[in-house]
Amino acid sequence: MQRPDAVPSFAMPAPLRHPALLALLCAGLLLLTACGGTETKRSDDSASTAPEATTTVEPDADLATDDEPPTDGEPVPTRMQIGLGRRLDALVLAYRPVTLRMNYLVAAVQLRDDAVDGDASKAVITERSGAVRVELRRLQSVLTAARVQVARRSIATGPDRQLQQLLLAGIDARARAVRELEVSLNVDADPEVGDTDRTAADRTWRASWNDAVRSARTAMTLQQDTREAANLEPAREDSLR
Amino acid sequence: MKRHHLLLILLLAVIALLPAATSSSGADLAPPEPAPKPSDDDRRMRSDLVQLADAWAAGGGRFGYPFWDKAAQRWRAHEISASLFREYVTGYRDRLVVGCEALDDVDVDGDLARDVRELVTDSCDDRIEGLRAQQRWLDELILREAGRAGLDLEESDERLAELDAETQDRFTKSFRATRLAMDQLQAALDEQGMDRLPEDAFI
Repeated sequence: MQRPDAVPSFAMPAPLRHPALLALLCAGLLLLTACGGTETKRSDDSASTAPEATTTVEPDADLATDDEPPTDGEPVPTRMQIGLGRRLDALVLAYRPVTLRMNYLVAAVQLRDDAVDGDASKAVITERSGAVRVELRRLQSVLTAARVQVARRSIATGPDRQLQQLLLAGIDARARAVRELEVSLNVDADPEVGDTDRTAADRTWRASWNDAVRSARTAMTLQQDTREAANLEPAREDSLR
Repeated sequence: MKRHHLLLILLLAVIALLPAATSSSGADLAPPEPAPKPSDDDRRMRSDLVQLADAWAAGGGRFGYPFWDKAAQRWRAHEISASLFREYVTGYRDRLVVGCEALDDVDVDGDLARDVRELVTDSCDDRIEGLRAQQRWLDELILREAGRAGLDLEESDERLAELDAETQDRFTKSFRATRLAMDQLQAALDEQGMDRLPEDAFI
């Protein structure tokens, strides 16, 4: 039998010894844990004027330590935040070939659309469709290579993981759009296919393309918000397309 | 007695966690809520947004931006000369001047459409200024490449750096404004259960 004065070292304060109070406290804490941090606040009002996207550090820069956030003047990123910025930069760099190549295809599609809408001759439409086919093949290989580069980065959690997922989703949607665009071109070239099927094929590839553009824009917003929260310079606004 | 206390604590903890744990799965199980029927105001809002998007497309979104961007890539890859790239810059700028006027002429009703119009007109103005700065930057570069006699290289470097900074600053503001406009308007259309605009409507 234990002596009444043998109080264990982890004894609680008197009010917390009451089981109902303790239970309520636990429940409250659990609720707070469950509800907190589920949504990230979008900071749309942030200024974004710096032209460069790269996370650079001067060799003798005064870095804040991770334990001591700066208290005066411009907020200085911690080493951890600079590391995050570099990981974001690396993902953007891996995606860069897609950003650079995309408008080659968009320009070719615009010229073809213009020929179709303007009732150009069949020869002109065929020639411009050929240009689209060339560009979609090139973009296809760029997408395949970029996907490998973006996916190879092993990231467990955090905003950089989210960015990676968005970029991969964007690449996949664009690859799908490119395949569907080819189908649409084939359908258009087939005189036996009716207008309904042509319209359906056109809508299909444009829907996938929209998905890709949306992913890239969401990725851009995520990147800028993350950089702002980490006291890093904003990325170039045209770095993800 | 102690065991009872422990059980009570566990029970309350489970009760507290229940709503959070079921909120995501519950949403999947519940029958999908029908999309709200758009009101006349909502339809008017969408029509205003479509008009803005049409003005943007006609003013450089369709035939300006993709060709200018492609030309920039080709110039960086040394596939075209600075002079030819400058022609693309001029073409895009001229289209945008007309585009900004077209945006100003769109009569919009409602807060969201007004906000979007403000963002895209600001973006348009910034892009024109960015393109003008890019033209001056290319002029300086072309003069240097031509080896103009008596050119002060130090002064020329300074001018190039200033013009490049101004160009990038304007483009950054412009691209950012269109991104925010797209985020804002697509979210509003989603909320009203209406079809989104094409995602590159204000590229």
